[in-house]
Amino acid sequence: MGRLDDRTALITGAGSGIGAACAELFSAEGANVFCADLEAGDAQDVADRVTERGGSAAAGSVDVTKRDQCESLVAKVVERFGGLDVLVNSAGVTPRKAPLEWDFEEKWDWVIDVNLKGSMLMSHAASNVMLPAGYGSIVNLASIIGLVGYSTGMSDGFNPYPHSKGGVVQMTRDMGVAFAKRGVRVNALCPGFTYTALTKSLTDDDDMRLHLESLHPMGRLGEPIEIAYAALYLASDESSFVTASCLPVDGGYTAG
Amino acid sequence: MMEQTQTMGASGLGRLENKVALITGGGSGIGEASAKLFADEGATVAIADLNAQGAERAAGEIREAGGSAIATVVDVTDNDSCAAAVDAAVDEFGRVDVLVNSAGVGARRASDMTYEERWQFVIDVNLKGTVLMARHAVEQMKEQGSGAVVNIASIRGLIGYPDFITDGFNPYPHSKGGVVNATRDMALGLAKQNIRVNAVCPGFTHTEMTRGTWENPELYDRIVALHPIGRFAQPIEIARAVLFLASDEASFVTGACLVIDGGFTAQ
Repeated sequence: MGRLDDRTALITGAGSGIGAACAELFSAEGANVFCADLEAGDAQDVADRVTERGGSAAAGSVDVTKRDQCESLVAKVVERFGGLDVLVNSAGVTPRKAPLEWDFEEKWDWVIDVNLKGSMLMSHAASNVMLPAGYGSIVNLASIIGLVGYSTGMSDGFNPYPHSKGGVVQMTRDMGVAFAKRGVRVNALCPGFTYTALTKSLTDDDDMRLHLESLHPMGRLGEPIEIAYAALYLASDESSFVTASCLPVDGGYTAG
Repeated sequence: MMEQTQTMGASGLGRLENKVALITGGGSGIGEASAKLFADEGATVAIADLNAQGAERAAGEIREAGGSAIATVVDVTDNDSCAAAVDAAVDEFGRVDVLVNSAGVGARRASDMTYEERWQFVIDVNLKGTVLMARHAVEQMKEQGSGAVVNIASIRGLIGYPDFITDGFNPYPHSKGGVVNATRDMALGLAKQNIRVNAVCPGFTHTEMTRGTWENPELYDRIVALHPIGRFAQPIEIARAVLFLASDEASFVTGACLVIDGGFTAQ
């Protein structure tokens, strides 16, 4: 008996980090998982790992900033598994990952496009399947940095990451309320700093890692699986009365 | 939607295997649903309730289903009684891994009192009771080096209600707002000692406490309309969130207030 038996989950950003952890956990709980990532090879590797363990998985590439790609991805999932029950919007970037030669505005547009518009486009495409079916659960990977600003010294105030994640938080509420009577729940997770490729340049720096640890009352950073378990709760029917909600998974960061 | 009944016994996935849970208000409503779900997931359960009959019945039903449970009487407004409830669980089962503070009252329960008496009563049960129980349970958890506390707060601890529900002096939101921030403060104080403290904030839920709303069709319809999902919650839907927060799956979650309200507070 699995907590996502007979469900089909589409996970963007599934090639690494929190998205990959969700794909593996959801599969272990009985779901068909479609692993999507801009890096098709990474998504395929995760899908292969799932399949080797006896799970049901497929992989594909997606640039979530492109509407036609989001729509054709959803069509592929429905064709492959016969439906779409769960969408996890885990594809995300920070300006740290932008090409150095880009100017401020190019970086800003890129981060907003991937994190905010990408979540919206994927949700839009998925909702075109979920709303007619009268069933679905969308889980957005927002961030504590969608709830509070970066701590003193970590941002010059123009970092697009908090702008994008704040947008995801509010999009979650708006979409959640709008879909509430139609069987589709929309929720967000707000992780604290988590060990992923996204934060590697920060956590590899000992001084920065110690600083980040000190900001979390638990005195440590999160592991992707700890975020994935919260995503599992929100994805499954266990959270049947939870919608338009934002769950911090942050070792106490935002409680202080 | 998931079936709203629940099974008991060994049919769960063992998400609380080898854990001992102490649940106040476990004789009815959300507390009882949590106790039965926890037992289903492998936990040993100590049900503490002011209502001895309710506690005995719930514990008996868990045992009949093959689970392990005891019932104790607790008045959470009384410090010694709280200490005794924790002691009873430790005497019987050797430890307390999870405390669920589900004992709570609405102002309607005390309609024969003066306003000030009623205010004090609701604050004492909902807020002080939560703090006293946590204080004693946490002493045990510190000795063990681990633990999780889950407080049943309310969306009324986060927002105010429209004036057809409240005159602005209802002590219930005052008490639940206190629980929300007590949760945050405890979480920070205990984070490095491997003790997590979280709250759930339910919307209106079908329990004895809300009987006055769901027995009045006109009022019920107006309150349902405040929930975008278009209905009240069932206790089991809150219990499943309590289970998540109580289990090791929530190992990085502390100081969080999980809203379970069908979209009520997102509007």
